[in-house]
Amino acid sequence: MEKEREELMELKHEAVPGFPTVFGITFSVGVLYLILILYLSLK
Amino acid sequence: MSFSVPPAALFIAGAFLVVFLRGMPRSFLLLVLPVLSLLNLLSISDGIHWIIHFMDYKLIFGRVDRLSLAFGYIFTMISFIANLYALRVDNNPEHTAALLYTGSSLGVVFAGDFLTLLIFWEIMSIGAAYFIWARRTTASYAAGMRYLLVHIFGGFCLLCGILMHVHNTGSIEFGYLGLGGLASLLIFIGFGINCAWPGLHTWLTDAYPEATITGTVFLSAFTTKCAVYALARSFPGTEILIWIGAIMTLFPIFFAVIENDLRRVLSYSLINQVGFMVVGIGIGTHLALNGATAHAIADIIFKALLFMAMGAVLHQTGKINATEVGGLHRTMPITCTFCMVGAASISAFPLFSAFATKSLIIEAVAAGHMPIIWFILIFASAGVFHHAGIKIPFFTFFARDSGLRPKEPPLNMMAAMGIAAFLCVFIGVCPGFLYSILPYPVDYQPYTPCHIVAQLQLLFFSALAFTLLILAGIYPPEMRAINLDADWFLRKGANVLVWFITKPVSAVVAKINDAVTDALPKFLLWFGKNPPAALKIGADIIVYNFTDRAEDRQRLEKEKIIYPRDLLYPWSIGAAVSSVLIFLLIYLLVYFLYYKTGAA
Amino acid sequence: MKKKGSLSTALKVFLSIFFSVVVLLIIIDFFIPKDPHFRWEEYPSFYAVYGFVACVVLVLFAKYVLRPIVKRKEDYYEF
Repeated sequence: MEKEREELMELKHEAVPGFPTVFGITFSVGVLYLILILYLSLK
Repeated sequence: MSFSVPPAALFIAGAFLVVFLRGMPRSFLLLVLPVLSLLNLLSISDGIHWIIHFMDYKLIFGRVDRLSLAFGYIFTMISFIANLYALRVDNNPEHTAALLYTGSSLGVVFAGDFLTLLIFWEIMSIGAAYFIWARRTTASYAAGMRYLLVHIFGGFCLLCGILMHVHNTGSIEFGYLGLGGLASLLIFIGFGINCAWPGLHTWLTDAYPEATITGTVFLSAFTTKCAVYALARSFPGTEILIWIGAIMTLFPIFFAVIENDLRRVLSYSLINQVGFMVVGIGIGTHLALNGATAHAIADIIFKALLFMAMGAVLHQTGKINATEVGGLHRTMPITCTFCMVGAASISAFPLFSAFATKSLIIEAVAAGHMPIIWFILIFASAGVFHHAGIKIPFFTFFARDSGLRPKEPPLNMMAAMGIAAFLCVFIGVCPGFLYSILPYPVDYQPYTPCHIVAQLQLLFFSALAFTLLILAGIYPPEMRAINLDADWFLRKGANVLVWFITKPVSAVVAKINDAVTDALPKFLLWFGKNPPAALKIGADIIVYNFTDRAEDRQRLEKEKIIYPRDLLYPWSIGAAVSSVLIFLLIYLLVYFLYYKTGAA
Repeated sequence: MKKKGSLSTALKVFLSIFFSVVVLLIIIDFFIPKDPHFRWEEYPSFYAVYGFVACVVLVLFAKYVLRPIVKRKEDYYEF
């Protein structure tokens, strides 16, 4: 706790197990679906 | 009409009066002035009032129409809120600056001619600079100076543009200009500097976070919105504004994501929101101009609310960096709630203000069939929720526990935030009231199922992105660091300029100075002692340089040593007379060629 | 509070509610009559996917492109 009282130089965000995978899947699906929509509508 | 006064006059009179007051009378004055001003505005009829004849021109202090009234109402309203927030500031010059700044903003809005506009425009810069200096830190002093320099430059552009415009047209009327010619371009840029256009924006993100806690609230409301008003007045439908505005909505959000100072995050999002208004002005249809005005009104309130909430945190803890605060919802739940109302409003959540105002602009973009602009604005809408809507409240009131346990801010600050929060919700729930004061009739219904669901999807999936990025450990860490911006060119460029002036330029100047004050008189003195001999020496130097013979050199040395006394080479009378004749001939030629032909 | 790699109960509840709302919004979208200006708005959950991808791109660009270019020490301008 004493360390936190000092000037914190950097506030990191720790990964929670499992979520990097969830993020990866969601993002991939999102990008693919968005490309599909744009492809179909701009065709 | 019979009892009304020029809108700027009340506040400017108050600015001088407040100097002499302390305690209750001062508080009374600060709160009553905006109320009086609002009553004054309500009693003015449309049209042109308060004309003063100055030389050949008419100065107009009251051009009253729906556009100027809409800005007048909101300026008066926000001055009440900000004065209430600043009620406990025991520094009279700051109140004077506030009233002067508010008064001159109203002066700009109701100015009917460019001269009046310019005068109030300059007073605004001075009032604003005081808010920055009043923080009394080294950083704020420097930032205030930079602020003033930029705005003096902007005012200068405006002045040049106006002078050229008056010279070209003979009219000083402040009305529609449109972009064409150098005069209008200079005025355009003058407005653009106050409007924080990309590249010209750094005075804002540089200075606002350095201003006093209460000063930033005033600053966020007036300068940029006056510029929006001026653009809406003089340049509606100027196509380049659409692109300028779109870039304004886009680039600040990237900086906001990696910025640590939370008031600087809000400054970036201020540019982003003004970008939406600039797009609206660029489109220039009635729907778009309504949207720009409505969004300016909504933005003044929710941006003030957010700055007030961050100011409350700074006031209670002395800290404002994301790395230093956190977990404050435990002891500041009410401030936290107000902050989240502001966050929801800026993000355009249904039932909050921007939902009813920003959509007018986006609707106008869609109606004008501008898909790229539309994609940029939706991207920026998602982005603004990301950094202003989530980042601000999350890192201040939640995230990690910083160990800080500040109390809620004083009652007047809470009341000011409460009123602003109420207005945010009121505009969101009953947009009809706001729509009724816009410049043109509004035929738009924001609350359709399609619009609500689309907006909710956009926002919730932005939030989902934030949540997943944090949980996956990808979200960039908050860091104590500064991020360079376009002002790097000015601030480092200034150093280069200083080096350039002190080193090469001053060396050259010193040389010239030496030559003119020292070497030249000495030479003339030397030459004057015996001109023919001196000329002979000069000729011999040339001869020696060509021939390089020893005997020439010896002769030259001898001539130099005996120089002034040597009169062995007097000019013959013939040579002297011929040289005089030659000079006379040259004189005659010049006389005939130049004067005679010039006269004809 | 949050320890490394685990979530508090309150946070878990909050996240479950949040994720349910997200899913619910996708489902509702199928039943809402659309009023599109552009053709891509007609596809289900266009706004959801665009908002999500936009925000991720925003953060990744800011973190991996912008920050390396513009980040300096706090005393960069003081010398």
